[in-house]
Amino acid sequence: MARLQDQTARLEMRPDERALRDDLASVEFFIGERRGKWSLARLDFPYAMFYVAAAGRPSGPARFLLRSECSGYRQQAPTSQLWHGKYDRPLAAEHLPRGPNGVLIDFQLWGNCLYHPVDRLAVDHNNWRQTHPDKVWQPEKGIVFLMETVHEILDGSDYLGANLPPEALELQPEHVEAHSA
Amino acid sequence: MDDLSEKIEFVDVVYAVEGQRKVLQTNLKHTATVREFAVVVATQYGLAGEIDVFVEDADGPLDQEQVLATCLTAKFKPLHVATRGHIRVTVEYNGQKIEDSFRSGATVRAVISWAIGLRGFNLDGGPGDFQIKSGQEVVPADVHLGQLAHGSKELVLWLVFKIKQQG
Repeated sequence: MARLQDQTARLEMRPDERALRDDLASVEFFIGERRGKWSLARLDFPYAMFYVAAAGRPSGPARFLLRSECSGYRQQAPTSQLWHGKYDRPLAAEHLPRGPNGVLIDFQLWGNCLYHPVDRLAVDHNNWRQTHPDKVWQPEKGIVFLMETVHEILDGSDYLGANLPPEALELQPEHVEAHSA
Repeated sequence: MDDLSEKIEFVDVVYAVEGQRKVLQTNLKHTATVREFAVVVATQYGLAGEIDVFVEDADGPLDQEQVLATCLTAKFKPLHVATRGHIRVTVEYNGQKIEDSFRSGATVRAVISWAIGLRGFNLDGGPGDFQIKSGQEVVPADVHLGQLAHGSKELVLWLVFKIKQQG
């Protein structure tokens, strides 16, 4: 009975939500979770919240919260921002990951998205499709590509830490219980 | 009969296979040996000859008579199933080439570490500052060499510096 209900729910789902849920249930996503690189915190389509692990730094959190808007998935790239879980809003500048020259360029305050070719809102900036084709979202690349991209930045040698208050990683209770991929 | 004696426990196994790009997942009886696992995978994917099973980035293959569940490491590492023999890896960088042999279950990350190190090109920067290309594709660092080699024991890769997008 429960299985029939699940199947009915899947049929009623938007194709983009169904595709995202399929990818979140994939072995590739699972492996990233098992390696401790990321985890799904909440899915309330079209919004997905992920914890993405960061490299250990003397002054830095173990992870950040990433909020991705995934409408049109996979044909359309997600657009994402680092997020404050408790206040349910983008991270303020003083909490963003720092690099040698201040806030890491990928997370600098610029539009409401990542400053990176993987992001739907940023990809057409600065001729990035031509200059950074490897970093651009392609429909055949799933959510794991976005996760790998963000994790790689936070695990890279340019990342020096962040002043992130613990409550920034706290999801509101209604968010937590909505997790079901 | 004791009900518990009839309970079959399973162990979750994540593994890659030589020549297969996709990582796989299966459940095995917790008593299954390495050899039993290798036979199942070899049959399914048409691997012929002596078959070895590795823990990712391990120096040597697992003992075939060992119970597979006891070989799974506390820190998660996928297994790798491959025909016997090393993969000869050539890495090119700025017109220079280096070569060495690696286990099929070695990761691209291990190749990067070797290639930028003293036995390689001796480059400044850490492994995270470089990436490997196979043809036109940038290969994620967790991929096993056997997954890239299409069943061959030779592989040519390109080491490239990660270029950040400009502001």
